[in-house]
Amino acid sequence: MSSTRSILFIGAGILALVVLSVVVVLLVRRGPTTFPAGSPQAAMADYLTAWDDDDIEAAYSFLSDGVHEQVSLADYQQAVDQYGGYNQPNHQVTIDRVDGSGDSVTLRLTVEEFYGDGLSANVSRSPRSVRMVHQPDGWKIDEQLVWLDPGPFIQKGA
Amino acid sequence: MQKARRIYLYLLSAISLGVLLTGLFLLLHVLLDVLGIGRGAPIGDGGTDRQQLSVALALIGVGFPVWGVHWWLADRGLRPDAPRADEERGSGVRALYLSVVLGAALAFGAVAAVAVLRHLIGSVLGSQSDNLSYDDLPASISLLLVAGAAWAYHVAIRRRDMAGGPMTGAAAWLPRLYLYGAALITLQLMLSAFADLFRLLGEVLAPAADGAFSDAGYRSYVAADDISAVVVLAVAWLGHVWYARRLVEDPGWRGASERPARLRLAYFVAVILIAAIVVLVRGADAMRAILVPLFGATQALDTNPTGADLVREVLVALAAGLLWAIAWRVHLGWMRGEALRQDAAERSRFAEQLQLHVVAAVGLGFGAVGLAWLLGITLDVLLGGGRTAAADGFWHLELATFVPFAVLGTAMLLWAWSRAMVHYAAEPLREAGSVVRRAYLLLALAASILTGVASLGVVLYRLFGTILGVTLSGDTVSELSTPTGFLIVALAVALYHGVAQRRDAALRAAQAEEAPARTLTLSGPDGANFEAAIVELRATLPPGYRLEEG
Repeated sequence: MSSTRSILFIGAGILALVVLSVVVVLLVRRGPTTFPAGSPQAAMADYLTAWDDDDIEAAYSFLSDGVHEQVSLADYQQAVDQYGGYNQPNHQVTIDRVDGSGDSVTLRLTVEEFYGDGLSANVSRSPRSVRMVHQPDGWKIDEQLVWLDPGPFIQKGA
Repeated sequence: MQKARRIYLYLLSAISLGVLLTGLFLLLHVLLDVLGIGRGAPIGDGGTDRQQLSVALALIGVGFPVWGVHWWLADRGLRPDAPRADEERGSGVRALYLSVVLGAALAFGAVAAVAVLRHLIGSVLGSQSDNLSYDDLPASISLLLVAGAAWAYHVAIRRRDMAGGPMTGAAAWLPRLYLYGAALITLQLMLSAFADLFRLLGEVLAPAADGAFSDAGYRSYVAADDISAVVVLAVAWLGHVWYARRLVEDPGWRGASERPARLRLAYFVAVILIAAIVVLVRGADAMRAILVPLFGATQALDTNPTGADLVREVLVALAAGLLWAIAWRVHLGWMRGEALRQDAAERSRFAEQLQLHVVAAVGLGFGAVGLAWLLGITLDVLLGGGRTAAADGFWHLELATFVPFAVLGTAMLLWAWSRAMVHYAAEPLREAGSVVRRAYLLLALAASILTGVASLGVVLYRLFGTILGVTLSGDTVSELSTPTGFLIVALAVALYHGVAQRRDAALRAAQAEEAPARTLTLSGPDGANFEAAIVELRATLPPGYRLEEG
């Protein structure tokens, strides 16, 4: 095969792939997943929705009783004011799997962040594990988290 | 002018190809993400797909036209009607471009293939480790596809170039460097992965009290990682070795060019060198595991190994060493077989000399270090140094570490050197004139002199410091015992090899005086393979005649 023809074939293949990708991305755009009500995944989704809505009080309500004993709403609000800025449009969180069963599970998440600009733009992906417990009022996050990061709280009585 | 144009075209082709492949990688990544392959359930709709797609399209939009135009211009020169088609096809710059692209594509492709396979095997084994989350499956699949396509395309280009007729010089040896470099690296990494697998197997069969593999999820992850590395690297190694073998057996110009290639011989020798080092180190590990409790060095290590621990450590080390011993044997067999097929004496003799002297050098290095250290400890004991009197018993650990090096290194040296000496005794004049023997003797001489100088420097510093009243830390005897041990061994090594070198020089001089000789000049075309030509000339010499390189 001549070089001209092989380069044309490669170009045609790349063009086909580009068209296919654009069509798929536009048509099959990933929307939010609907999780079963009362599941730990649904609780996590609601917790992150509260963050997206800047509703810190609602986000705080998704933390477990054990966390509430350690961190008051005022402390939580203060930490958010100090270390906030998580409500950014370029974040995407996916739930990869749920480990454990019964009243205590661990959610394995991936946090995707698009950063940079132009041709230097990139996506970073980092895994997160979040422990959750089941309480009478539903599944709660059993860690001192500000968004999905460990909170800078001082333990009460420490 | 033509060369500058060529450098420009291939440099731009390489850079724009990198941009294009990065764009294609991102494009496939987004496509797989959107199709939900290997990804979890998204929360919210703040996806990054469109941003990623924009970047991918921009990179492809820039990369493809630039690469397409430059590669077309570069490749256009190879058309049959082009005036300099053969020159272009055989250019070193083109060979460099193809070799670099092939090497990079192979490396990225292998890393991605290991990640994909690790994910699949990990899913079957039920790996629950957090580490599994770090595997970005869509990224690995995309990278594998893009790197695989780039590799396959450039292999096809190279094969098309080779179909055009004989290639010499850089156009021949640069792709050959890729071929044997890839074979050597994949073999080395594959056998390392095997060693890790043996370690895991040992830990599973006889778990250590504080073993790193007590967590079942992590254990499964490591098993998946090692198995996938072994599989991918084995395929890569076998593929390259098989292709190289096909070249050697080719009845046409490819075979004639490949069979006498120095890089092929260098590959065999490099495998033998690495194998000798690993076999010795693994053997020393096994021996050390036995000697540590035997010499009472467990206190210094703060461990108390059980019988099962000992058996595990010894078997794991020996199994890893055995694999390299097999690789050694196989490559030695290939090297000897090919040398014999090429000519009955010259090439075989050269190959045998090379492998014996390489193994002797490894044995000498390890043996000398081990002996020097043991000599240092002996001096410390004899002269009442603080190191061997200290309660921590650290010197017991030194003994357990360096006795294996001394014993196994010396054994390897004696084994290889005695065989080399048999050849020397049979044909002293020929051996004395051999480049391999000369290089070995000079290398041993240089290494021992440098070691001796460094050791003497330490000894003199301590001596002058004491005379001049400088406050020096540590026990004098203990600070001097090890350098003195190294100095004595270095002197002995330098003496032996220096005498051998002088004897060889005398033999060569006597031969030069006695034998009638004529100096000829061998010339050839551009990129001539002088090594092959000399081998062929030697094979045609009448009895009693020899052809020596000046």
